[in-house]
Amino acid sequence: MRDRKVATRYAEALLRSAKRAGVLDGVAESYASLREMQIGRSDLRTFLDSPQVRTQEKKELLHKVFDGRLEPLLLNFISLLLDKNRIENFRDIGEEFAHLVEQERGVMRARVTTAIALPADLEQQLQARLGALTGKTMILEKRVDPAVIGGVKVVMEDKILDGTVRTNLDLLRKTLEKAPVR
Amino acid sequence: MEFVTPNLTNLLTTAVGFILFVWVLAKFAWGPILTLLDQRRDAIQGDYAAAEKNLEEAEQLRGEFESKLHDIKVIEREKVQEAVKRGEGLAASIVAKANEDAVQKVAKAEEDIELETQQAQLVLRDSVVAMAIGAAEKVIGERLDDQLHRRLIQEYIDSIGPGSAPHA
Repeated sequence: MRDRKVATRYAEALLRSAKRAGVLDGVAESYASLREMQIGRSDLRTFLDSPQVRTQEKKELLHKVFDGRLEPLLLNFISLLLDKNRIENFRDIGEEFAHLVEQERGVMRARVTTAIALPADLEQQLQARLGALTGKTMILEKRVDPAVIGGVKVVMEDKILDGTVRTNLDLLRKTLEKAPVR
Repeated sequence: MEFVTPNLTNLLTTAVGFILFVWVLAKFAWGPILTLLDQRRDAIQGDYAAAEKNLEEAEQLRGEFESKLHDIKVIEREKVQEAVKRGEGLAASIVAKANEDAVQKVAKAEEDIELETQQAQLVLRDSVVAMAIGAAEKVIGERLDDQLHRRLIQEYIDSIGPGSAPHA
């Protein structure tokens, strides 16, 4: 069961521990590679999620495979998740943790939607402008959607900067639809 | 011509016979005849009195009958007048109700017409808006080449600044 509050709580705890131990970068990198691996390999996910395999066996196998390859703090964290029966939230916690790490590093993601592929020079300009606006290092997640007709739509965290032709036409339509008939 | 000379004997005999006849008659027949006549007279008088009495009673009955007839006519007239009044009242209330219904129906019809007119105008307006927006969308879509796309994106980027939000 996906539970955002649980994921946020664990991710914050992991962030605090990693920062205290001074291994934030290592933990972030390890978590990212583990997430990729776990997403890519369904047998690993099945093994970790399986109620038939005892927790102790899961821990032992994890240590056998990943000792020396992953940050020990992260391995301990995974053991904690297994003990607390929260291993099914591993992916959500990872997403939340990555988000928190980005915030920690002053990085912000913005989803940019355009009708045509965003030209490289304009992408750089947009990145710089958004960076100046937010005071953070921007990572643009580009998306092409012909339905917007033209212009740009940027979604970052809870803010939407919508300058698409589609939205302007919708606004125009709404304005006209509110016009009195007499 | 020969005259007849009265014979005294005959005269006396006839006279005596007549007297005897009158006496016998008075002695034996006169009383019963008179009694009979009296009885007859009394009977006739009784009948007459009875007829008079009957006549009086008939007159009295006629008076009573006429009085009752008059009363009946008065009552009938009152009843008719009452029925007429009631009928008039009923007719007036029916007319008033019908008028009220008619006024309500007219008001309702006017309201319905107004509502339908407004709805039709709204539908028409929305249709016109949809057509206009659709046409605008088509024209813009057809006219937007790479250069115009670039220009739109550039204008968007230029509009971003502290405190600015093109469409938040």
